Amino acid sequence: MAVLKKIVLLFSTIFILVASTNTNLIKASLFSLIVELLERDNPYVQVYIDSKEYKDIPKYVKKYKFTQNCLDADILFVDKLSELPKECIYEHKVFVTRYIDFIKNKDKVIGAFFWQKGRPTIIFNKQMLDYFGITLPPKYSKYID
Amino acid sequence: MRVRLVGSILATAVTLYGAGLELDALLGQLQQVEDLSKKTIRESAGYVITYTRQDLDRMRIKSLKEILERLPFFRYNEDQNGLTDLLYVPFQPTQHGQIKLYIDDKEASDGLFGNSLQVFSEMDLSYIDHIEIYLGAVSFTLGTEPALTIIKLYTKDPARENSDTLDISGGSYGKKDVTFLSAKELESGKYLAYFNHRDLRRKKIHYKSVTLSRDKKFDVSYFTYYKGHLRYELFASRLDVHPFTAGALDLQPSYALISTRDFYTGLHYFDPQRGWKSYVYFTYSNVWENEEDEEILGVLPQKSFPFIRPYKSHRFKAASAVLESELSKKMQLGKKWSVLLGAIGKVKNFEFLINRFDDLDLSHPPYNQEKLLTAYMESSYLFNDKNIAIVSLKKDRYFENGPVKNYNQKMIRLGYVYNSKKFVTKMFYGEADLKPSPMQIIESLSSTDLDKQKYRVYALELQRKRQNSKLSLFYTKMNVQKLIVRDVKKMRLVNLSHALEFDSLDLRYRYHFDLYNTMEVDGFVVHPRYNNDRASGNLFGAHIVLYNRYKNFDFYNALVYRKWTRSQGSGIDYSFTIDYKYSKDLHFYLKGINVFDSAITTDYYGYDLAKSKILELPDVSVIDRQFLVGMEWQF
Repeated sequence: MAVLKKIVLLFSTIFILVASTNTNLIKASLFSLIVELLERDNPYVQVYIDSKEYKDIPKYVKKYKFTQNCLDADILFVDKLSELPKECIYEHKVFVTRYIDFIKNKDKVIGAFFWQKGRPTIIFNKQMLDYFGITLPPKYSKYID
Repeated sequence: MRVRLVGSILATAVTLYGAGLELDALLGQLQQVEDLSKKTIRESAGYVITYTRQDLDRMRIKSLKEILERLPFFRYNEDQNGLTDLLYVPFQPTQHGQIKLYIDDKEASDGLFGNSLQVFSEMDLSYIDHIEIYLGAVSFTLGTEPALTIIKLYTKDPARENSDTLDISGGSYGKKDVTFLSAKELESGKYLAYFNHRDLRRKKIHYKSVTLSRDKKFDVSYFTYYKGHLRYELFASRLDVHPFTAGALDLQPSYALISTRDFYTGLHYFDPQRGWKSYVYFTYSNVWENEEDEEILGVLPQKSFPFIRPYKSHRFKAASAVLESELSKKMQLGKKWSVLLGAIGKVKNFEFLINRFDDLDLSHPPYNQEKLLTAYMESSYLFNDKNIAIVSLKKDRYFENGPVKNYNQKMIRLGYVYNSKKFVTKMFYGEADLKPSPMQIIESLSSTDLDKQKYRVYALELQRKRQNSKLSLFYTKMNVQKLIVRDVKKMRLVNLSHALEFDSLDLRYRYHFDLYNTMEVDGFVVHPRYNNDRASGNLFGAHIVLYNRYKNFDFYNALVYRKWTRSQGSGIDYSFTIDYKYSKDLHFYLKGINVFDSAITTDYYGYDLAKSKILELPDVSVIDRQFLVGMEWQF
C-alpha cells in the first residue's frame, strides 16, 4: 500500500511538473529533435547553450551531455554569434536563436530558430548541412534554406 | 534518488513527446503556448474576451468593425455621419465614455470628442498582434479615464515578425487597400514601421433626390522602436469622410465632408523586474466639418421667439492637444500581498477655431482647457494558490477653465477570484463616476451645468476549463444614474432624473478540436429596465465562429445574430474568409462580409419643419454586403 502511495505521489509530481512547464517541455522536444537530426550517429553528443530561449533545456533533457566549454561541444545553441569565441564557430555545428544572427552569418551557422510573422520557425542551412555531410529526411526539406 | 527518478522519467517523456509529434505540430503548439495574449491578459480585471494573433490572421481581419459586430451586449451601429457608434440613438449625443480603445497603453482618443471608435473602427489592423476586450463595467483598467468596456489592441512585437510584408486587396464598390509593414529585431533594439492607405468605398444609399455616401479614405502610419526598457512611438493618421446624412434635418445635405488628422508621439519606460512603468505622450488632433443644405440643415435654440434659428450651412474647425504622463510602481509585499500605485497628469487644450452657422459665429467658446490629476491603487491578496481578493480605488480631479465647474470622479472595485485547474469564479462589485466630455460641456455652456453620471455594477463569472475547451457564464447587473441625454424638445443636454438598469447574461463556449480547428459559440441577453419598469423587450445576440485548416487552406466562417429593440429589428450576418498559402511567402485570400445582405439594419430620422413631420430613412445596412480579394507577400 505504501509503495502504491509513493507511485501515485510520484506520478502526480510529474503531472504537475509537466503541466506547469508546458512551454519548456515543447522547447525541450524541439531541441531534442534538432540534436537528433544533426547528430544521428553520435551516441555521446555534447551540447553548449548560451541562449535565453533554451537556457532551461538541461533541466528537461537528460539524454545529452551539456558542457560549459564551447570547444568540447558538438552542437552549440547561441543567441549572439559575436559573443562566441572564434575557435568555437568553425568546425562546430552552431544553431542561432535570433533572426538577425542567422541573416548575418549564413555562411557560419547550420540552422536557426526564431520567430517570423508571429510564428516560431526553424531553418536548416543547406550550405552548412552539405559541409558537414548531413542529409535530413525528405519530410524536413521544407525547413532547408 | 527520487529527483533522479523524476528527472529520468521526465527525460523519457520529453523524448517520447518529441518523437511522437512532427516538427510542424511542435511549432504550432509553441505558437499557442507562447501567444502574446497570454502575457498581457489580466484575468483579475474582469470578464475578458481575447482574439489571439492566430484568430486575427485566420480571419484576415481588415478592421475592428469585424470584431465589434460580435461583441456581447452590443449590436454594431453607426451614427448619422456613418461613423461607428455602438450606442447610437437618433438625436442623442454620443455616449463617449462607455467604450474606450487603447493601443498598448495609449488611449486612442482626441481631447475633445472622446469616442475613439469613430476614427479607429474601420482602420486597418495589420500592425496589431492581438485584441483583448474587457466587458461588463467592472473591467476597469486602472490608470486611465473611466470606461465601461475597454478594447485593448496590442501592437506586434518586432522580434516575432522579422519580415517585410506587403498586403494588397480590393473589392466591392471599388474598395482598395495597400499595407506595408516592416518589423525586425536589430543587433540592439527592435523596430516596427507600418503604413496603410485605404480607400474605403461603401454602399450608396439613395434617399429622395440625393445619394448619400459613407466613403472614407485613410492614410495611417505608425513607427515604434524599442531599446532596453525604453520604447518610442510615433503615429499619424488622416481620415476623410463623406458623412452620410451629416445630421441634416431633412436627411438631404447638398454637400458634406469631415476631415480629421491625428498625431501622437510618446516615450514609454517599463521595467518588469522592478515593477516601474512610466510614459509621456503628446497627442494633437484636428477636425474640419463642412456641411450645406439647399433647405434647412439644422436649427439652433434661441432664447426668444420663435425659439429656434434655422441654418443652411455649418463650417467647423477644431483642434485639440493633450499632454499626458503616468508613473506607476508594482510592489510585492511578502508572498501574498501585491500593491500597484500610480499617478497620472493630463492637460487637454481644445479650441473651436471656426464654428459658423450661416453668418452666426460661435467659434472660440470661453471653455478650452481641462486638466486632470489622478491617483490610483490596486491591491490583491492571495489567500492561497486558488483564492485571491482584489481592491481597486481611483480618484480623478478635473480642473476646468472658463465658466465650467471642476469635477471629481471616483472609482471603487472589490473583487474575489477563485481559480482552480478546472473552475474559475469571479465576483466583482464596482462603482464609478463618469463626468461629461468637453464636447458635452461646450454644448451645455449656455444652459444648465451637467452633473456626472454614476454607474454601479455587480458581476459574476463562472468558468469551466478543460484541456480543449472553456465554458463561461457571465452575469452583470448595472445601474446608471444621471445619464446624459439630449432633451429634444428643449434642444439641450440634461441628466436623466431616473435610473436605468440593465441585467445582462452571456454564455460562451470555445472548443479546440485540435491545433488548427476551433469552434466558438456565444449567446447573450440584455434586459433593460427604465426606472424599474421594462423599457423595451429583451435584446438578444448570438454567434458561432469556426476556424478550420485543410492542407494549405485556412477557413474562417462566422454567423452573427442580433435581435434588438422593436424599431431596430433583427438580422443575421454570415461572413467568411478563405486563405490559400501558395508558398511560405505568398498568400491569397478571399473575404465575404454580410454575404446574404441580411445583417441588422438601422433606421435614421429627420424632421420636416414645414410640415411638422418626422422623416424616416429606414433599414440602412450598416454592415455592407461586400467581397474582397487580396494577396500578402512576405519578402
